[in-house]
Amino acid sequence: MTDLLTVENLTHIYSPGTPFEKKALSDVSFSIGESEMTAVIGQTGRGKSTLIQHLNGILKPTSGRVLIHGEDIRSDKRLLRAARFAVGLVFQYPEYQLFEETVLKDISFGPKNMGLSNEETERRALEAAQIVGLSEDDLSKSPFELSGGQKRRVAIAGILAMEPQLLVLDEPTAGLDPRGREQIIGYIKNYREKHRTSVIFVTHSMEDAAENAQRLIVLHRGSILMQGTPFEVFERAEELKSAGLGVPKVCEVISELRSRGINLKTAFTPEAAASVIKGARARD
Amino acid sequence: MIEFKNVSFAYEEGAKNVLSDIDLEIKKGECVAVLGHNGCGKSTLAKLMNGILIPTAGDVFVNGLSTRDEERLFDIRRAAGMVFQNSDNQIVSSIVEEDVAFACENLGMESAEIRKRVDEALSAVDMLEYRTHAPHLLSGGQKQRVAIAGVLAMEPQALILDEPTAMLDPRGRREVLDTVLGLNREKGMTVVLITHHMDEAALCSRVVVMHEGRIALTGTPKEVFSQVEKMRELSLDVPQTVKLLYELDSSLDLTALSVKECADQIEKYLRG
Amino acid sequence: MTNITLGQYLPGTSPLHRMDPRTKLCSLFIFIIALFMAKGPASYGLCVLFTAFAAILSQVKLKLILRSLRAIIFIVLFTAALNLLYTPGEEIFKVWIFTVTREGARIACAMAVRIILLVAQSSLLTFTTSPMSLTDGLETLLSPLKKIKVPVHEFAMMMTIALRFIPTLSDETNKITSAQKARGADLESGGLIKRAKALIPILVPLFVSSFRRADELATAMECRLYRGGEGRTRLHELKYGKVDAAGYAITVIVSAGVIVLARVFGL
Repeated sequence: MTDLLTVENLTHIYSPGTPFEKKALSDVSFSIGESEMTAVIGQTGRGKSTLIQHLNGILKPTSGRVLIHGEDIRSDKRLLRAARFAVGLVFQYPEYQLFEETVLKDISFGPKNMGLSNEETERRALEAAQIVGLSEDDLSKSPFELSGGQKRRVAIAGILAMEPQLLVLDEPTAGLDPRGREQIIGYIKNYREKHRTSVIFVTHSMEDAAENAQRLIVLHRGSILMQGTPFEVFERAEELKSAGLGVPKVCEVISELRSRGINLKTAFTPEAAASVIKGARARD
Repeated sequence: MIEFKNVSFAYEEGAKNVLSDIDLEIKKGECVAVLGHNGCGKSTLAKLMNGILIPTAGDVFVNGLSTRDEERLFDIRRAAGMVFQNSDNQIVSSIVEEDVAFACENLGMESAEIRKRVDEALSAVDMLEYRTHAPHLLSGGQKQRVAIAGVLAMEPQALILDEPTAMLDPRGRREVLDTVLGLNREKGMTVVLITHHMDEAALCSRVVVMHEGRIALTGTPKEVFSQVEKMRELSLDVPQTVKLLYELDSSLDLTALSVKECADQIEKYLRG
Repeated sequence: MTNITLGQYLPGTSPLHRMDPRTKLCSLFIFIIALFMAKGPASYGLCVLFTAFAAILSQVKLKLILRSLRAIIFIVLFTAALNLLYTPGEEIFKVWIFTVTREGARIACAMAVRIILLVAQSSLLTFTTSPMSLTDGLETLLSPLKKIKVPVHEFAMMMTIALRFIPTLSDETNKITSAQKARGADLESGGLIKRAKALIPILVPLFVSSFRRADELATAMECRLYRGGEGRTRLHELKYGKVDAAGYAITVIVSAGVIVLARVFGL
């Protein structure tokens, strides 16, 4: 079986041949399986957002390939268009893309562009709206009347309604308060469970990545520094730190305790760490 | 320095109050974090502090001047400088130093005096070497520091920052936070930091928690964040170190904000 | 993506860069008058020499100046052709219905030289003057108009802000375009009307965000004590120096020379 998405030796250079030339990605390879939740973490820079715009073919690689179900999305025009819909891309601050008169119409924009029937478009839009917790009342409102958090949800619903096989979100919780963050992550998880969709989310919060992803891809200076399960990645906390990337506070507490001669297993959420510590106490 | 006396505020007459019965005093040299989730009124609180908004009831005083006094509004704004969330929308000029000079130019200062203040303000935020750069080519953290310098050039006594780090990545956040805390510690600048990041609030000397237009909690970071249940009720987070101790045993001393303090507690728990 | 060079300013330290924007604007104005009074090869030749002198002084690469001329090559050829073919006078030769006259050839050459010099000189101005200082220069030069209630300061402030926001908005346009493409918006195919309609999902968000930006900027400016142009000073006071005296002197002498050659001696 081929993977849902494969990225092979992807390199991207902005403005090649000019004084502004900048390598944003260099030889990036990874693959995403069915219904996986992956977090892409990395420091500042254009690497992360450049990467995700390759996944649905908006950007053209300087070299390397992006494959969906084993087929190069740039091998013909039809596949490139199909990639737009197979990979649903939610940009950073997506509320800025709202433009329709009503919330419902805005959510329907994507499915309509896919050429779906009116009934199917409406069914999907209603379902997506419900998943992100929008009420019946909200649907007939202008998107510009809503609060910031609600706008964000409308924008995400606009992509969910396209029912992509792979959902990609660029910092979906940026600028939200803790409650808003929790809600958005909850909606995405619900959608994923229901549709068995694979999800990639870009974040610079190690805490968010540790709590929500099954697999992590750590980007550093445009190339992949490490990838694996959160356990595998956070075991290498020292390496992450020396690359200037943070680790969850909990990991720091555990490595501090280890340096004091207390033997503890790796844990990266407060709950898991608490049970590791309780276990250690019972053992003694 | 800044005083709220029984302040209420509604955006329109007859509309629901965004803020109700706020009594708050911010003393000279303090570093106060205002926490709360979106829509709790914390941005409105900030805008009342330099007369962008005028209370519906009650009074706000800056250096003893009421923000209702239109004659003195200029002095109030000069004393209480304001920095906003989106640095892109507060930078006026396409050259860093000319932007920083904007307030001084409005004050009608001599060119030599402006030069001096611009250089001082840019050094204070560690951006002097970018003086002739174009703001749109800077990183988010750098742009926000330019915006701070633009306010510092007025030589205000207080700096009010309305979610200055909300749009920044971790590195930018650290840059801005270090700058602001440095100004407070080294130059005695009064700082009001509006934020929803618990770890940022933990670095301030006092935390004010807002909930539905009222002050729900106030105290030192340790006093506030150790009340894990109360914070959950307000659907706010606590730092991971506190959460870990709370999960371990809620009867532990929960005032550990740093990694070291947290490790100390756990060591005691394991060996005790 | 964000590396848009505005206008076409090339930072540098040449005498032309160091010159006050007012000097450059006034000199350009004086030169244009002289250029349009030029008549024969001698006066035009002097104009060409003056432009070449300015170009060397600016230290701008010849390639860049030529590139700015490439954009107008069509206009030059078109104007020259019109003059060449439709000016009555002494016939040189005749092809089909077109007659080329001695007068026509002369005027065609003159027109081509005029346009080329005009564009070259204006490019030199924008190459060596940052948009900000150009705005300052214009504001100062036009400030007498304030007396007759022309809002000179407001126009200059608008220019400044516009220059500041062009890169920001261009970035934003790119972002919104990508976001709508990700929702399957088709921007490349279809006829004119379909394409214009396809722009709605880009223009509406752009307008909405521009209004929000304008609103926030206005508040931020108020917080930084902006009260209009009255009583405002500047960080960089415009000051004339030696290089400006030299600039004015050379421009006036050359322009006077051109006018005397053309109008007194008819050369």
